[in-house]
Amino acid sequence: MPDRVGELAAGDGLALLRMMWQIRVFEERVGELTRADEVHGLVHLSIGQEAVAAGVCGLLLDDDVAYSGHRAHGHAIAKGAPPGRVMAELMGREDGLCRGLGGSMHLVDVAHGFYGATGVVGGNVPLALGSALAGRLRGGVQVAVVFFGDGAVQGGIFVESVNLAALWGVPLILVCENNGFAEFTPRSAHTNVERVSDVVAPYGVERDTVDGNDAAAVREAFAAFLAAARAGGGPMLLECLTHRLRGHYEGDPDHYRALVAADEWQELDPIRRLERRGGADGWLDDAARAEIEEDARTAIDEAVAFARASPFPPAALVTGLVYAA
Amino acid sequence: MARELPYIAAIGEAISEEMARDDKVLYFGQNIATTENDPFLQAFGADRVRVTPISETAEIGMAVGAAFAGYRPVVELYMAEFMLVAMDQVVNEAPRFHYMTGGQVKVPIVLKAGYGFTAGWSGQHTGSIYGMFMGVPGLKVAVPATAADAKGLMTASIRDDNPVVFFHHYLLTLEHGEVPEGEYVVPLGEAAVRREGTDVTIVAIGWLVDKALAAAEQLAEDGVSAEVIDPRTLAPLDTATILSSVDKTGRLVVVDQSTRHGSAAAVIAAEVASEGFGSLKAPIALVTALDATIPYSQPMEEYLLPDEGKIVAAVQQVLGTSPVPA
Amino acid sequence: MESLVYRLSAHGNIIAPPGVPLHFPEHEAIEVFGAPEEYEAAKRGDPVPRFRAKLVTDGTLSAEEADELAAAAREEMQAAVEFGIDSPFPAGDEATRYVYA
Repeated sequence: MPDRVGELAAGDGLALLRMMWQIRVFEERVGELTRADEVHGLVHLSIGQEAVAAGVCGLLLDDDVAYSGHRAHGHAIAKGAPPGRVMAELMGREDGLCRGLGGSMHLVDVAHGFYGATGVVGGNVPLALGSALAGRLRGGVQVAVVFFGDGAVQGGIFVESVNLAALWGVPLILVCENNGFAEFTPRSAHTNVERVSDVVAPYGVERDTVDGNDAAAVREAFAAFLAAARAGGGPMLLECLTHRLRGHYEGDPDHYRALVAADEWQELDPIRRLERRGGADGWLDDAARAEIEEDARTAIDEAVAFARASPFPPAALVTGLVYAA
Repeated sequence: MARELPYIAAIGEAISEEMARDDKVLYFGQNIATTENDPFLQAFGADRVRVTPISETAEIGMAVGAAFAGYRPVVELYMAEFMLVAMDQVVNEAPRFHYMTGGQVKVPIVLKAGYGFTAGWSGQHTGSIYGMFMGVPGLKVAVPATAADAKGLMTASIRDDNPVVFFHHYLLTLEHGEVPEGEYVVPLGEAAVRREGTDVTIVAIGWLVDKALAAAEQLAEDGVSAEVIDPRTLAPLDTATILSSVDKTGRLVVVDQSTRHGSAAAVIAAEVASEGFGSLKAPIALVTALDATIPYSQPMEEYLLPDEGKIVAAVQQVLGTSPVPA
Repeated sequence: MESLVYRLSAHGNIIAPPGVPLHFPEHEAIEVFGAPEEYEAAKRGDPVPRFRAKLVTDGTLSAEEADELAAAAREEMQAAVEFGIDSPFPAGDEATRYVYA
C-alpha cells in the first residue's frame, strides 16, 4: 500500500498520538485486569488498531453518532467516553457508562454520541442507517458512522443496509477495519471478494481504501467523506487495511511482550509509525513522546482507580430498567 | 361519538391520527404508499412515509436507530412470519437497549404484524406466533380482537416508549365494529371482560374471542354461565383480572390459535396454576391448535384449529358434564 | 440469468370476509397505478400468441398443428382440473402426519 503523504498539522498529529496512546494503555490494562478477573467475562482488545479509532472519531462531534462492533473500547474512548466510566463499566460498577448492565460489548455513551458496541456482528449496521436517516430528517449536519470488521460484510444484513442507505442517500459513513481475518479464519476462506469496497460497488456507494495503520491517512480520507456527508452526501465506505496483533495476548503477557518487541511489529505499529512521522515532520521529539506516553499512563491509572472505587450497582436495578416508564 | 369501521381501517385511523398529532411518528414498510395518491403520503409527506425494499432486518434495525434519535417509527410488516428473518433486531436489539444502556436510550417502535390467516393461506403465512415474543424482556405484545381495541391499542402502542409488536388477526380485517372518533387510547396491559359469568372463565386470544362468545351463548342454553376474558395485551399480561375471575368461577379454559407449547395459553395456564391454585375446582383446560404447521387443505385446517365446538367440549370437561360417548 | 418479463395476472387474490368468494382483481397497472395503456401494451406482447405466430410464419408448425397444440393443452388442463375436483379431501387428522420425519 503506497503511503499517502498528506498534510498533517502538528496540533492534529499530537492529538492523534495522545488519543492512540490512551487507547493503547487502556487496552493493555484491560488485558492485565482480565487476567486478574477484575474485568470479568468476554472482552475483545483492539491493540494495534488505534489509528482508525483516533483518525475517525477525532473529527466527529458529540452530536454525531457512532456505532462499533464487539471490539469497541478504542472507538468509545476516541468518541469521547471518559476512560474511567468505560473502565467502571468493564468492572460492572455503578458508575459505568451503563451502570454495569451492558459490559464490554454493550458500551453506550449517549452524551458523546456513542450508540454502542454490539455483540452481534453486523447487528447494528441497520441501527446506524436509522441514525443517519434521523440526521437527514432533522436537517443539520449530523452524520452517523459505523465501524465493523471485514467479517461483517458477508452477512445479509450488511448488504441490505447498504442498499437502503444508498437508495435514500443518507449521511452514513461505513468504516471497515479489514485485517484480513474474521475471528480465526482468513478472509479468503469467507469470500471470493478480496476488497470490502468491491462488495459495495454495485450500490453506487462512494468508497475509498486506506492504510488503516497510518493514522494521518485515515484522518485525511475520513475528513473528505465527512465534509461530503455534512454537505448532503452519503453513504460512503472507508476501508482501512490493518493488521491485528496476532496471538492470545489477553492470556499471556510474555507472549505479548515478545510480539510487541519484534521488528516486524515495530514497522507496522500505528503508534510507532506516527511517532516516526512526528519526528520527521519536526513536531515530536523524544521528550514530547515520552511525556505523551506518561500522560496516557497517568490518565489510565486514574481511570482504573475511579473504577475500583465505584460500588457495584444494587441488585434491584435488574428489574427496574426492563421497560422504559 | 362512535361509528362502524372495519378493523383494518381502525388501525389505519390510529396511525394517521398519531402521525398528525406527533410529527416524530414515522411509517414505513413494503408496499405502503405505492403511488403519490396514497392518503398517508399526501397527508404526511415522503420523509415520514417511506416504501422500503423487501428488507425486514434493515427496516426494523433502522426503526431502532431512528428511535434512539427521538423518532417513533411504525413498521408495516404484513405477516408476523416476516419478522422471523429479522429476529435479531426484534428480540436481541430493540427490547434490550434501554436495559443494557442503563436507561440511556428508549426504543419507541411499533411492529405491525398480521397473523393467523388460516383460510388457505397455508403454512408460512398462517402462524399465530405471538408466544415467541411474550417472554422477551422489554418487548410488549398487543393482540386486539375488536375494531375499537385495534384503534385504541395501536394508539397506545405508538405512544409507548417501548418496542411493541402489534399482532392484528387477518380474519378480523373486514370485521366492522363501533370505533370512537378522535383520540382513543386502550392502555396496554389491561384485559377486558367481554361477558360476565359465574360457572367458568374462558380466556380467549384475538380472533377466538368471538368463538368463545358464541360458545358462551350455546352454553347459556344449557344453563352454564361463562365469563369470557380478552387479555388484549399479552405482554405485559393482566394476570390480576384473570386470577380474579378464576377466583369467582373456579374453572378455567384457555383458547388460543397457537400450537400448544408455543401458546399464550400455556403461559396463562402456568400463571393461574401457580398463583391461583387455591381457586381451582378442576384442572385447567387448554384449547389450542394441534402441534402442526397449518395445512393448506380446508378440512385439515379445520381439524387443527380451535372452534366453537371444541370450546364447548372443554367447558363441559372442566365442569365434569361431558356427554358420555354413545 | 435475469429475464425481463411483464406479469399479466394481477399480483394475487384479495382479502375478503369469510363467505365472500375470493377473486382476482384487475391488474395493479389499472387498479393502482392508473395506467391501462401500459397493460394493453403488455397484453399485445403476450409471449404465447407471439411465439405461435413466429413458429407458423417460420414454417416450423402449420396453423392446424398450432391449433391442435392449443386444443391438446386445453384438454390436458381440463383433465387436470377434473382430476383435482374428483380427488377426495383428506381426512382432518392427516393434518398431523408429517410434522416430524
